Amino acid sequence: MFSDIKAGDTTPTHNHSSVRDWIVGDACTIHYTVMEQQHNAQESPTKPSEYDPDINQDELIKAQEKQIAEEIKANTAMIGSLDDLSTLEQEYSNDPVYSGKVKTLLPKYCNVRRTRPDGNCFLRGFIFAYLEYCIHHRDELARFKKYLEGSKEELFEMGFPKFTTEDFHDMFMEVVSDLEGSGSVDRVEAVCNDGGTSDYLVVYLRLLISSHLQKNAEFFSFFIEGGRTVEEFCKQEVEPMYRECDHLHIVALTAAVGVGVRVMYLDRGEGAAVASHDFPEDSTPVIHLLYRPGHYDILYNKA
Amino acid sequence: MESSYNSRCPAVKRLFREAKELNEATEEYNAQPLEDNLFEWHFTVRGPVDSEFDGGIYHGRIIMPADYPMKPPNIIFLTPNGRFETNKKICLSISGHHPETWQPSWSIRTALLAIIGFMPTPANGTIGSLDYTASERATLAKKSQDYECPQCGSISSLLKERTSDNKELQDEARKVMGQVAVSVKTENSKEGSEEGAGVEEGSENSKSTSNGVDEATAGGHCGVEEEVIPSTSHADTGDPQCTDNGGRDQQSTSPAPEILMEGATTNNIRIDPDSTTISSQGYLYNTVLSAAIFLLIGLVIRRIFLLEGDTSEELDEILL
Repeated sequence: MFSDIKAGDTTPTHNHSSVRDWIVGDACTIHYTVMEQQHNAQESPTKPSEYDPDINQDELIKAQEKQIAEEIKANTAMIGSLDDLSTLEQEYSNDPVYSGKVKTLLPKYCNVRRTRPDGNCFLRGFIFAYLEYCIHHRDELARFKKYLEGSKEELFEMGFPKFTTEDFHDMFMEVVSDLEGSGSVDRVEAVCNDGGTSDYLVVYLRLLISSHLQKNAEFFSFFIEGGRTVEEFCKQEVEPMYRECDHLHIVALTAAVGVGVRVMYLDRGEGAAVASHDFPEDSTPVIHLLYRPGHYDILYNKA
Repeated sequence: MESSYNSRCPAVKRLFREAKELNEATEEYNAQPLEDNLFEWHFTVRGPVDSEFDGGIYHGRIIMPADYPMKPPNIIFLTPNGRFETNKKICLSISGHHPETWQPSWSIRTALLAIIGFMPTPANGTIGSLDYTASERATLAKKSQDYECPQCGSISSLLKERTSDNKELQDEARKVMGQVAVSVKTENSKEGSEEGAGVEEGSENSKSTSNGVDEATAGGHCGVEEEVIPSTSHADTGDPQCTDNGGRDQQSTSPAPEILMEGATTNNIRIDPDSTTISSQGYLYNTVLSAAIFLLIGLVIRRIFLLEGDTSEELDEILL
C-alpha cells in the first residue's frame, strides 16, 4: 500500500504544456484555463483593462468557471459511447509524444469510452466500468451487492448522518438490484448517464472513500498535504462533489470495495513507454482507466 | 402534491423524504415545503438561549436548486433579527479553498442548525450581516413573535412550546457551525430593505415568493458558482450594480447581497482584506494572537525594568 502512494508521487499530475491537456482536464484545469483567458484578456489591445481593485477578480474567475463547466455539461455525456482507440491516435496526430504513447497502447487496448471532465470522472468511470464488468460476471455482482448491504452500517458507525447516507445507499441498492434482474450494458449506460442517479452513485462512492480513509487515519495521515487531518481532508477533498480524485482516493476506494483497477498514465514523460499502475498493488485489474493530466477515461483491453 | 412531481427524480424523492423527516415541529426549528411548490420551503427557528436572540422566533424561505442535494439550498430570512439582513440569500456549502463544495450528505436540518449556531456569532462588518447591539436585537426578538407570514400565518404557533434549553441541540448547532464560515457577495441591492420594516416586508415577500417559485421550478440553481456575479460593484458600496447572466426575472424585484456559508478549515485563516469571509476559528486565532503579543510586550518591559536594576542577582533571575 505504501508503494502505491510512492508511485503516485513520481507521476506527473499536472502538465499544462499542451493546449490539449487543459481541454481534457477537470475542474482544477478549468481554473487554469480561466486564469489564462483572463490574462490574455488583460493583455489584449482592444480591451485595455488595467487591474481594477474594485473588481472582484475571484468572482470573475468563478463566473468564467461556471461558463466553462456549463459548456462541458452541454457537450460531453457523463459516460460517452464506445469509441475505437484509433480515434485517440487521430486526436494526437500532431503531437509526437502523445501519439507515440497511444501507439504503445494499441496492441493491448482496442476501445476507449470518454467521460465528462467535471471532477467526478474517475468515480463515474469506475462505477460504469465496474457495473459493466458485473453484467458479464454475475458472481461479482452478487459479491458487490453483499458488500454494499454491509457498507451502510459501517458508514453509520463512522458517524455519517443516517438520514442522508441511507438515501444514497438505497439508490445504489436499487440500481444493483435492477441490474441483477434484467441487466444489460445498455441499462448500465442509461443509469450512469441519468443525472440524478449517476450523481447519487458518485456521492456514495465518495462516502465509502471517506470512511475508509478515516478508518485508517493513522496510516493515511502521512500522505496528506497542507497540515490537514484526515478528517479535514475528507471534508474538503473527498465528500464534496466535483472534487477530483487523486492517488489517495483511488487507493482507498479500491481497497474498500475490493476491486482491482489498472491506470495507464499518458503524460509528457519522454519515450513511448506508458507507465501503468495497479490498485491495490498486485491485484488482478478488472477495470482499466486511461489517465491524462487531470482526467480519467475508460479503456477496454483486447480480450 | 406528490402526483405532480416525477418521483423518479432524486431531488424530488429526497425532498419528500426530508419533508417527512421534518414533518413534526420541534421546539427549536420547523421547516416544510409550500403546498404548491416542493422546491420552496418555509422555516422557523427559535433564537438560541443564552443569547440576545432568546425569545425570538425567526421565519424565512429555503429555495432548493433543481439538482438538490448536489447543490446547496438558498436560505432567506424574512423576520428582522439584527444578525442577518432580511431578503438576502444565504447559501450553505462547505470547503477549504473553493466555496462551491457543499456536501450532499448535508440536509435541510443541517442548514437550520447552522443558522441557529450562527446567530450569536459576531457579524464582523460583513455585507449581509448586521451588527446590531444586544438591546436592539432583544427588541427585535420580542417583536419577531408577532410576525405573520403571508403563507404560513402567525409564526409563533409554528414551533412547539419550549420546555427546556435543549442543550444537546444547541451543542449540535455549534458543532455544525464550526464547519462553516459565512461569506457574502453582492448580487444586487434594493433601497430600504432595512430591518424593522416588518409589515412592508411581508408584502414584498409575497412578491419575491412568486419569483422564488419561478426560479426553483425553472431549474435555477443556487450553488455559489451559479449566482449572478457583479461586474462593477464593490461589495461594500451602498448601491451596487448588477449584471444579469441568468436571465432571471427575479432581478427586477428582489434584492440582494447574498450571504454564502462556506466551509472553513480549522487552520485556514484568510488575511485578504477584500475577502469577506469570517471563520469562527478566525476570531479565536485573532484573540490568541493579540493575547500573545500583549504578553510578549509585557515580558519585554519587565525585562527592561529588571535590567535597569542592574544587580547580578536580578540578572541571574532573568537568565534563569
